[in-house]
Amino acid sequence: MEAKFGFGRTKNNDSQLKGERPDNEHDARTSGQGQESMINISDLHVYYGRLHVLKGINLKIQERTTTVIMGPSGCGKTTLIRTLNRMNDDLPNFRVSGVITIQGFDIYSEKVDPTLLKLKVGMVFQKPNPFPVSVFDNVAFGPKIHRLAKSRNELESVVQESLERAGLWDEVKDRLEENALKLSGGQQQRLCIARALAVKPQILLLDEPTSSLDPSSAMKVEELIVRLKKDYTVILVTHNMQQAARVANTAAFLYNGELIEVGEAPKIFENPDKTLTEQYISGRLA
Amino acid sequence: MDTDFHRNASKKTLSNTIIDQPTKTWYDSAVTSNYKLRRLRDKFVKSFTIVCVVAVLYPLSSMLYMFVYKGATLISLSTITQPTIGSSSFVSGGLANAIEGTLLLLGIGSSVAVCLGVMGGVYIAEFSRNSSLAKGIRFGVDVLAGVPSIVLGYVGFLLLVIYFGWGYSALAGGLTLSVFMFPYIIRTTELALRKVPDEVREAAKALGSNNATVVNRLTLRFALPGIITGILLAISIGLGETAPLLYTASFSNYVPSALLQSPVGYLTYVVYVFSQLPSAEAHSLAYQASFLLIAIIVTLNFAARVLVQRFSKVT
Repeated sequence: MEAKFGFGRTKNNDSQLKGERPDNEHDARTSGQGQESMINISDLHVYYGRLHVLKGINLKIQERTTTVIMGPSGCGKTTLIRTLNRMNDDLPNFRVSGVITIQGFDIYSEKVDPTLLKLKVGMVFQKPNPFPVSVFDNVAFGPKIHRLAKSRNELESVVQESLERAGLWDEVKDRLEENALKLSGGQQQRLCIARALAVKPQILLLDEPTSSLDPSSAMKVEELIVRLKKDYTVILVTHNMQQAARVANTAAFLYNGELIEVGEAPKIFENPDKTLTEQYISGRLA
Repeated sequence: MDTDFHRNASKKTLSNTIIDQPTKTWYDSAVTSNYKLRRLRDKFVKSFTIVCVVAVLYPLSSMLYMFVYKGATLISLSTITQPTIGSSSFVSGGLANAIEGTLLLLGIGSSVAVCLGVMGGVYIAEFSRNSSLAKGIRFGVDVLAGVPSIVLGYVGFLLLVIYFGWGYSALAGGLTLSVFMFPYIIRTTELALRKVPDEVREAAKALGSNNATVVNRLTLRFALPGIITGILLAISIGLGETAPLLYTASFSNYVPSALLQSPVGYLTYVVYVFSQLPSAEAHSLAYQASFLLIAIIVTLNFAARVLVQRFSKVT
């Protein structure tokens, strides 16, 4: 599958080759309007004190799809994804109304332990932030604190598997005990992804993962995201429209805290319904 | 050359007139003007600051020299092994009781101060950084750091020695000392923890370590060098304190038999009291005590610096 530069996107070849699923069902799945959605956000309002940051977001995200959330700076993209794994809980005056369910369970209900939620929904940040410990200890951190590995051997195999999935194993297998800060920026970001994968989440939230990387490292991380699509539900925030077009199944456009348009990625990029979306795509919006 | 060109150019136009004067170019101004004066002023200010520093360092170095010299010549094995015998003008012997007393008082004082100080620092740096309680703690700690040590000694006397009925004791002295050392430890702990960047905490939280202990497993490790430096400095400050101990530990020629109701000897008392006694023996002991104190403080400070350097290379 070759990625095109520009706003076009190659179709998912698998469904065409296999001919198993009819087209409209594929569309339904990726346009996010299907029945059994992984993440269901309904009427979400987020406030920081009196500041109304997210206004009535309604979004359904299907399993094992990649959704890209775009929008100008300050429109609430980061707030939206941080709300999905309850990272915003610690912020002062944070208030949320509406319902977010993951696989049917309301994540803001009182019965939910936010710590365990993070095992299901992993997050990677914009600036790579590895812990200043060895590469091995970085990836092992999650499994260790949640006691996921019962023996040292199991821990080592979890670390190796995560590093392989992140495409970093070959580069660091001889340097596992080296301090993670000695890796290059791109390697550090892939390390952060490996670290997030080590606790075996089902959903991955990526907040502009390549924006602080040089183009070649960014390309490697992008290829990694494309590989991860098969096994994880990925929600990606990015400013890079080409990246979004290359990687995403579904695209959502946020403006000023409101969800303007959401739909299948090719449609949003080539033929959006709303004028605002079209202006943003073509770069005429700030 | 540009300047020549300009000179000749201006000369050319002016030669039309009768007077032939070279006009000033930027180069002329740069060379002649106040430059020499400014350089002189620069040198003067620099020399003046050096003179000031030397003026301050001179009494310090001569003091150090005197105590180190006198103390080193007077000190012997018996200083460490023999206790002080007799009292007032008839003192003789060594400083074993004072040394052990200092260690005991510092031991009690620093254990309490370190436990409370580090935990307090962790609380205000990690758990509730901006709460009103944290702000209140910071304010209270700053005030406590400014309270004169003799006032603390008096409070210790009234509360621990009299009211609790502990009498002059190691515990009373130790606890008063710990109150004195506490502000330094809590402040340096908070500073050391603040140096750990927030992104590391975010990453740990995103992995599900909301449990505060686990976040601490990460941040405390990296703040440890700073925290230990703070502890060492607090100990060296506590070493030199006389006033809090005067009214709470009194003095004794013997190592205390119990933690309560039994006075303790300590080195700074020796310096304070024995230097005023008329006998030569007493003065000798005072010199030796000063030497010991200076030696320990210098070692502690040196160790603190070495620690900082070593750990900043590792991370």
